[in-house]
Amino acid sequence: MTNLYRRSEKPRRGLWFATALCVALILFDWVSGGAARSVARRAVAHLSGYAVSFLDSAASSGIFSSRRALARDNEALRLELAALREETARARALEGENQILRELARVAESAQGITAPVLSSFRASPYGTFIVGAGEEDGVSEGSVVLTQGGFVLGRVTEAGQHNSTVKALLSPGVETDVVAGEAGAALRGEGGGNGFLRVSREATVALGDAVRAPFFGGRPVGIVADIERDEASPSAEVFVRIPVNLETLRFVFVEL
Amino acid sequence: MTRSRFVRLTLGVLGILGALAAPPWVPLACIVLLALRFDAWEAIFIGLLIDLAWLPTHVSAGAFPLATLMAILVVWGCAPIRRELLERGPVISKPGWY
Repeated sequence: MTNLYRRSEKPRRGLWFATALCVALILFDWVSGGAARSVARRAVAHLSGYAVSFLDSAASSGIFSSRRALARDNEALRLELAALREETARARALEGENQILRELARVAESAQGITAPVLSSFRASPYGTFIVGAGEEDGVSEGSVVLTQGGFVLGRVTEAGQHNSTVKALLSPGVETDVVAGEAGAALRGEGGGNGFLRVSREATVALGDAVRAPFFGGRPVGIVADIERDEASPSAEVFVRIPVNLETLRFVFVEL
Repeated sequence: MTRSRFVRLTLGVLGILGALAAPPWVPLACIVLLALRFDAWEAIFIGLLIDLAWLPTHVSAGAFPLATLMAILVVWGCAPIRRELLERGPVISKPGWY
């Protein structure tokens, strides 16, 4: 009887090699306690900035738009270019950075820690993690709390390298934290992108804009109440929480030591 | 450079850059598209890159390399479809006794 399934004529050596190499790298990382990851993370910290700017410039270059849209964009860009002189842009950038650092200095007055730059994109990680430019040499250790310039808890350091650290965001998908919203206690469930939600009793006194605080983090705020959905038929109300910071534009964070 | 190679190279580069800076669906889409059309070893490396870059802790601390595993499964899982639709000849040949 002939075999029903014909063997592939191509040997697929590359695929076998890649699979074996990836499995070996994962196993090596397992055995070495994260040695492969720390090398990769250093590379990511360097490359991430370039990748972000490349993708942004590719998206804004108009490669994917029509000729007419390109002409329109071109005209708009010419006008914009005339308006924004190099000196003005530089001055604005410095002014913004100065303001962020001043706000972080205020946070530093109430807690001991360091200011660290955000080295990676917030949106890229499927695991709700990001990389900051401070590591063990700066005193950062596993479990260090990471705050925004306004003092909101962003997350905790899950792995500290020599010069950079991986931070797991508090509101990353599926992560639950016990919090107090208004006068009601509940478990806040992260949904990613700096958003989360919790269920409280329908009679609970929670109002829009209330700070949501986590006793586990010394009562620090983890977000504000952005929306409340009360259903007459339901005994509980759904409270939507968000961090009042645009994570995409966050450039510096405060790492508590 | 043939069109096929160009597409593969573009998807590979986009997947690698996307793993570092774009939302997770970008490298995921690149992995799936590469796996559907090519014997794409680079798709597995994109998965590995995602895990090495973004896993909250290392594997020995309990983190699960989901992206690598998913990439391996997609690339090897799509092999029969690739063979059947894109390469020469069908996978299932007529049985001799039929």
